[in-house]
Amino acid sequence: MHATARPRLTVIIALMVLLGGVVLAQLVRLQVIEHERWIGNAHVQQTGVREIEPERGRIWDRNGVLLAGNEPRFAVWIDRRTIESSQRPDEVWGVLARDVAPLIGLTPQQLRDKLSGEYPRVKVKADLSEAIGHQLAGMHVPAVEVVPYWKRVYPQGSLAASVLGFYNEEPVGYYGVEGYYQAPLAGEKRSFFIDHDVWQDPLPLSVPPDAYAPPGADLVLTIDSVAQMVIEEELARALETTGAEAGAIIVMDPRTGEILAMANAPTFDPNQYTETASTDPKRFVNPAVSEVYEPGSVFKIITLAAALDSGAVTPDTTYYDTACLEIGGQSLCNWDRKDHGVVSMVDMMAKSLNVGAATLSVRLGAATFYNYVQAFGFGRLTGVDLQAETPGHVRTPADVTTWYESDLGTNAFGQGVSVTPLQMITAVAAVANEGRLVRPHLVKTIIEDNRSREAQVVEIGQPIRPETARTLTRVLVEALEREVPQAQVPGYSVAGKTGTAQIPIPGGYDDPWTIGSFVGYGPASHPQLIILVRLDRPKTSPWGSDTAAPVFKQVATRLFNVLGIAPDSPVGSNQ
Amino acid sequence: MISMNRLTEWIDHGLKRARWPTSRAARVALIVSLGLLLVGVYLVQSSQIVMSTRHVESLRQELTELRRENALRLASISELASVVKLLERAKALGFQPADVVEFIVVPIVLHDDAPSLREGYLNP
Repeated sequence: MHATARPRLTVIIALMVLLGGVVLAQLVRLQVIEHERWIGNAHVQQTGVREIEPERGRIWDRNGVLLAGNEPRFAVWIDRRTIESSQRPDEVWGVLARDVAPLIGLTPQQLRDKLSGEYPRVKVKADLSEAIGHQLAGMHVPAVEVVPYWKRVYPQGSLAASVLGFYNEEPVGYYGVEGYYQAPLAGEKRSFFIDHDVWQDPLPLSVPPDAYAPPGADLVLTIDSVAQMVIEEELARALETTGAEAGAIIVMDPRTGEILAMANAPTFDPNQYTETASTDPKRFVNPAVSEVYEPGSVFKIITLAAALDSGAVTPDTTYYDTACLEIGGQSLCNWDRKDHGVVSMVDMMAKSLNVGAATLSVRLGAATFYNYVQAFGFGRLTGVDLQAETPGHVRTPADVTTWYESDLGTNAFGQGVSVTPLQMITAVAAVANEGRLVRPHLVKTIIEDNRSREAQVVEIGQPIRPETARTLTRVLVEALEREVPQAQVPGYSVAGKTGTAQIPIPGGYDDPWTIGSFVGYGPASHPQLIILVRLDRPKTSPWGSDTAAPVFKQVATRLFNVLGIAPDSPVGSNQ
Repeated sequence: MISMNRLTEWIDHGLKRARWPTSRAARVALIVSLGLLLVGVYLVQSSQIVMSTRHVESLRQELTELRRENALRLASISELASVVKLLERAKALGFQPADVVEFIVVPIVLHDDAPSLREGYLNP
């Protein structure tokens, strides 16, 4: 080796060792001393949480018609901080203005305005189609995040809206079955950590194999969409012809408690729930289960059921009907303020005599009468699977400060008791169903994880004996044939009762307005349908027999045909 | 072929310079070969895993998109087949609501197509 080469070589070796030492020291600093810090930074940069929102369960009618489903939609979020921290913010703004804004239907200025607010990360647009969503995602614009989501859609529009309720952007279901079955419909959101690359695409092996959120449970309702359409049409027509402000129709199978159709007017379109929320949010409330009314003479069915079942009277029992009767210091009069002399139970129901009903409740005594009323389910929830059901209220002698002796008389013909239409139809359904009180329900099947659970018929009680129920049905059929031809359905024997009730307001009644109602079922020989019609403040006539009874006839006639229920009475025999 | 000869010559030359006995050279060659084989297998496996994962991810994505598409189709079909729309269409085609419906009493109603049941009904 050359003599001068050795010192040079020594210097080079020393430099190399020094350099190696520096590198080694840095490695120790980064990987040992500041290990946690750099691991944390890498974790923040490379690891993200992926959330999978399950598809909300769908809602079907009993025949497989989709009532509520989901459509894929995309929302665009932009983070202002990412733009500002990028190397070329002007270039990013340019892309946003030139390419992104027109695609999402905004002007560049509108986009800038949206991003100039208080929050740095803003949802600038939602409800975008799948095509636009994919196009945006493919552009890989920094700061733009394209988030897919499910939008709730109701393909049948306003059909059965008060039964379904609606689903908002929170996202939570409100009212109806959407509200009642929120948890099973929603399913479970799943979230997990993934390592991703610079484009936020997951790195290999970082996505767990079970990265999937199973959809929420599907509900199959007891609703028949054709029957639903029929009653909604008839209700709309009834409001038009009677001038009523509002109304409700419920159709139920008395044997099972299945609600086949339930309509309220005015109603709303759950696809446009935001508009209803801003104009008339009261329309969301389902009056059939959430609002009480005084049922009026329809309640005489309950009074007579109690009297027959307890043995206090038979259908042939007579009483002397005076125009008015004094109970507890209050004079209770017939609707026509006439005395009808000696009348039987059938006559009493046919002519809807208040004095007769009050006579029965007095004869029964308060304890027996209210025992029956409670046994029929009044004053407590029916347990229907709809959100916001109200129990109504029946005062009894136990309510010492609010109950008066005269209540015994007025309650007998449906005044002074507050019930929901669903309670009323459920109670009368017990008469149609051999005295068995069955819980009304709307969900027939719940399908979850490819398993289905069928709703069971739940018998709540037996307020009256089967013989009493059959006797009462005969009385109701006869009374209807005699006095309410406008409710007769050719070819079918129907049992039913009209009701006309004043509307209570603070300090009295809202004269001259009434609620006209009708509850009827048929074919009376083997009841398969029970229908309640309620019309609020009709203008053409205050009487339920003139307003609600013809609607019942129309609805029953069409539904017997639509549902294929064969006639049980020769045509012409009951006309 | 020329390059292979040169490579062989170069290895021979290296072995001669290192003055390694042939047996040691063979052992080293075997170890190096095994090492290379292991590295090769590892690389092949890793790349296959990466490719499979990518494939699974793309299938997952495809499945998600198909689910979305199905949901979209279902909603569209349901809307087009809604009761109100069907009624409108039926009216446009000239159908009328059935105002008078006559029921015909059928003396024997077969609830099952099973021949034995049919025979039982017809020839009790």
